[in-house]
Amino acid sequence: MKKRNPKQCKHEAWKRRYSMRLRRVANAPRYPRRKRKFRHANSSVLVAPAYFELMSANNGGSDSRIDDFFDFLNSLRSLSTTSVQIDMTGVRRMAVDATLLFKAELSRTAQAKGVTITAIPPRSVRTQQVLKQTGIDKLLNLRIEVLPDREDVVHWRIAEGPSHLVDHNTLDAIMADIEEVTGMAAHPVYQGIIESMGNCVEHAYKPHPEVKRPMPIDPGWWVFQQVKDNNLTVVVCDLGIGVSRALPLTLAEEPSLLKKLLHIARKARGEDNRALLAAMEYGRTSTKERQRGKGMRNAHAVVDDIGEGEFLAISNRGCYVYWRRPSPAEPRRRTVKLKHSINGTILRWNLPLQSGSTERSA
Amino acid sequence: MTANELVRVNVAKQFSKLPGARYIRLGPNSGELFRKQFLLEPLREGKTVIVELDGVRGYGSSFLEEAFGGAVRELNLDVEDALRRLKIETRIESWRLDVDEYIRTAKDNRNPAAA
Repeated sequence: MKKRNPKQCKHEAWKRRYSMRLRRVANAPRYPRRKRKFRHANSSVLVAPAYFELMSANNGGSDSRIDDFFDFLNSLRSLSTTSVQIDMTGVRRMAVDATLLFKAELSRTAQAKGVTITAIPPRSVRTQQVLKQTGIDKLLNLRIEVLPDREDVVHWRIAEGPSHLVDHNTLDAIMADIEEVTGMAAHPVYQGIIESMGNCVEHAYKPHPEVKRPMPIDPGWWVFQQVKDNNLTVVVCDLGIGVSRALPLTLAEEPSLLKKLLHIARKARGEDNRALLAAMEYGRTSTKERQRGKGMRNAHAVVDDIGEGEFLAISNRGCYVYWRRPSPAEPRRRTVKLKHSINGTILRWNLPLQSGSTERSA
Repeated sequence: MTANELVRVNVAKQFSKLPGARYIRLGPNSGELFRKQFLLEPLREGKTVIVELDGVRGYGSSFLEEAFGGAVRELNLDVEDALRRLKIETRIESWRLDVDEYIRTAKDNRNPAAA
């Protein structure tokens, strides 16, 4: 027999030990305890706040309810796990714009980050109805048996579409519902919605070096409509780069115009508010030179055509409000710097159902 | 075909009750598509086009501008000629005023469709 040197013996002994260890690991029984630990490492539990609100009554952003909502939203945005369970048990009030933003963020979390979402259903029957009516129950993988029948819930309508396409067909149900409650076959809000969608598709999802978060593709914009207390509310939302980043890109070849517009808006607080005011001014003055940038002019025209109402634009931390009371009062406008960024753009119209111009109902 | 021949277009019945955005690349039923389908050929042939705007859910200004202002730009029409041969029928006065404005200011604009 051939004599082996000590080094060779040592190596063979190590190989035997190592292969035995590999076999042991491969054949090891999978204990439930180990499974639980694995699942826990890749999942999170988020507790939703009682109130879903973007702004307090004075349009500011200092209320603790709003802080709670954005803390929750930020936790959802920064998830690093592959699954999440959202505890909706205590949710009591869902404002329409905050609900839309929540739906948009859920959608992005599921589609762009691939996170599996589950939820514990809310105790409030109204909240259950809102989730069902808005389709959020499907995003949360919740089975809600209750059928929406409350007057303040059944008139919520949703439309959504891909970030690269203005899909007007999705607006058919919304416009039919508006016709039912207003009696107006052609409603001024249509121009606001369709122009907002056009702006979103053209500008909201442009690549920007400061924005690293994954962008939603389909859906990439969301529309909610609600009838409540004799008021029509329509909200359009995207999760894009925001006006303060999109406007310089849109006017990249006209830096002097951009400078002029920002100079006009220089007194507003915050970069986002200055950009919003500049965008409004761009829409207002563009008739002299060009037809682009009219989206914001259309947004104001919705209120002007009705004769009263409110138009609100939120972009990241900026908030612009334009409102008009019945004539002869002049329209008024103001900006508010928000404490939290919505990471996108929301346009909202609040319009009275019985009022103003009858021209469009012709 | 004579220069006085009339062509009538009803947007809601022949095109869509839900007019879309400005450009074809942004989605269906755009102002650019409407211009190409219904306005360019008769205008090129010297006809008068009567466009019935009523019956739709509404119009974004981008749609109207690209359809009517775009036709003036693309065919390089004289503004007075365009106003004479592009006739609007609607009960909503602001739509008629908007279209008039877009025709009058069409030549002031650079053609953004090149984007």
